[in-house]
Amino acid sequence: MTGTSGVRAVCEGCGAAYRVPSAERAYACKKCGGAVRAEDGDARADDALGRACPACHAVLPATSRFCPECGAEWRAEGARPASRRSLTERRLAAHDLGRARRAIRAVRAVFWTYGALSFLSVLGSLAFLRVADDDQVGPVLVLLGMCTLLCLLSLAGLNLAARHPFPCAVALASFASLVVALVALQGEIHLIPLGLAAASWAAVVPTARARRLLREHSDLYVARRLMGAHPAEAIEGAQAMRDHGRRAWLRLGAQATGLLLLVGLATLGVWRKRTPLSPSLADAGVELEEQLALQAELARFHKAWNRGTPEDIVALQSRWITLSDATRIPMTLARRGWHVERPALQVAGIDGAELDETGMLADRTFRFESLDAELVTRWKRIGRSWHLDSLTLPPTSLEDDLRAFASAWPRAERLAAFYSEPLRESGRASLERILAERGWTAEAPPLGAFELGATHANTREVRFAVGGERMRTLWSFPTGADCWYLTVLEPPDE
Amino acid sequence: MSACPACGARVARTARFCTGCGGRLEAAHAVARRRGELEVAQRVVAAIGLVVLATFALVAATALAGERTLRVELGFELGLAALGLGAARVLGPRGPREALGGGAGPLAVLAGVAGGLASFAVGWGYATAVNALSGAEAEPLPADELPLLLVTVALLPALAEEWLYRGALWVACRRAVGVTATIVVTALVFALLHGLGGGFVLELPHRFIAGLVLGFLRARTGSLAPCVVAHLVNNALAVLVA
Repeated sequence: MTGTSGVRAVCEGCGAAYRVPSAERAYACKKCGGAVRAEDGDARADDALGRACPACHAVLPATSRFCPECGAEWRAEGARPASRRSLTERRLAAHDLGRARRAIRAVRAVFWTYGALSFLSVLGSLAFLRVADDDQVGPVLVLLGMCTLLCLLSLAGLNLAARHPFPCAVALASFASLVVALVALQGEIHLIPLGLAAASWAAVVPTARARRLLREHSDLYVARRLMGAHPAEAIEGAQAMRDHGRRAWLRLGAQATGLLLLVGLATLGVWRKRTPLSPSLADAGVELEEQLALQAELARFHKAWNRGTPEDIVALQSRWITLSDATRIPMTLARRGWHVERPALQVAGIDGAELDETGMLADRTFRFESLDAELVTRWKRIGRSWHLDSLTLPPTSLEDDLRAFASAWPRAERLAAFYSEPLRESGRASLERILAERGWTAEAPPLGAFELGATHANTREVRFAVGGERMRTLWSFPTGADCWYLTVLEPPDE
Repeated sequence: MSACPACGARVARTARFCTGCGGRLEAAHAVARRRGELEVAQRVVAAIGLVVLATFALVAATALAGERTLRVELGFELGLAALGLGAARVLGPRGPREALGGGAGPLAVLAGVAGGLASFAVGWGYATAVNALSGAEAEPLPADELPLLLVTVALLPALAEEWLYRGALWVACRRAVGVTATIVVTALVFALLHGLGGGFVLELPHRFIAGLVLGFLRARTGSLAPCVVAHLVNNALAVLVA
């Protein structure tokens, strides 16, 4: 092969000049892969422009010693053309993709932050929805939708950041700037939104070239790592990119469906248990946080009543109340026979609130599920927390109280609950003495049928049959009370 | 022609080896090409940043100015147009011409009218649904100021915003990503930049869809005119219905 053999030809794609052995055939361009065809006319005889490179057939200028395409000396034989992508190019691409990778990590971190904040806002909206009254439900649902949308956008950004870095970075930077501007319009500057916006904008420049670099150097280690493909996998870079894109969309679809299902089910659940706060609380000047705190205490009371012990209910009272009288509520419950099991209560909201000289008081009336009666609870705000102040049980008939008395016989500690509070301790001592004198402490004759006697004002005489004798008792119903109280118990004569 | 960094010989710009000394020119070419690409990327990001940040600043300044009189509106829209020009100029001397795009035929204008109707239908349906859910009521606009409102709410924003988003921002994004990604990014930024109007994320869904429609028009026709027509139709209908 000589340097001047062949005919002149040009690449149709990039215009590179070559010398080719035959004018009849088409050749592939070594630069761009396009078709190289012989020039028309008398170009075959034109040798004035120079010689052809023996290695790559490129045209050599007349004065050149080295080929401008492959670097081979034109006399040298068997010179190999250099590879199309130089080492420098690959190193620079790897460096830039490494920067893009770090930028994408920063973008994903910011998306994580916004996603977590949005999810917290979704939870907050659900908490609002639980206590919102009918007028507030619409705006709260709109707020819930907004927060869910933000969550979905954050999920999209997290999943697609590696496949579409530039759009994700620009969208994130714009959103972060919007947040900063909204905060600034309120007359405040917060460092966290400002920092997130700055980090987002700093990530835009490295990602601007990432897509092109990924396409051109998809066989690079960093590109494959960026796409989540293992470097040792026998898979082409372009295929890894396509696989990554498909996986990202699938993952996003699954996560979005899961999130929507979760929020939808949670909304339905909250809606079914919705217990609106009373507007009277806001009218009375109770802050929203305190209203929510009261709602939480009501939920604890509901749980303690239905599934807990009297001690759980006492725990809802203030420490100062329990120090002075921790037995009042257990006694009241024991008197009704409700010390172990109680008729279930329905969930309830707040009836009303008032501010009196002792502080803020709020009432709540619960309805029993199985009884046609109501339980009124009174709550007192001490500091920023709410405590159970008192319980008002549904009023009972004398027959009910007498039957409960008979079921408590002969345990003095339970019978003492039938005395009114001032007489309770003395009544208990008297009962213990009577039971001991009769030898009924271990085993006593059961109480038989009772017989209602005369009525004087609000006092009624009742006689119980016990061991073939008659035991006389006096019961009174004080004004404003919810039940009858034992005032006198005379044991049968020995 | 360029010079070999080793021997100073003049070589073709596309040569990979020096014809004088045989030294590798690829590294120098690769570094130069990378520098050029980085410069383009920086210009793109500068243009986008200018559009986004300066628009927020402009909207915030207008909100703080208090009552939106004709003079304030005019100043705001002129500010947007100037921003668009600045962002397009950052992209290079050919930026403004590229932002304007080519000419539009009557078919493209008709497509713009159809796009405007479609985006208005989506926006009106969305706004009605949100208002019904939240219990809010749209404030009726004063009927005696209709011509003025059509100019300040429909015509000026259509011209300024389209020049900004489907003009400067479009060209900036197009230099970095493909057509689909450009449509999505411009629509998203278009929607987000309306969030300062008081609706925050509430403004996002219907504005985003309107942005997609306008971006699609720009991509199909290659011109800014159909986008302006669509935006004008959308805003004018909103004013007339309100």
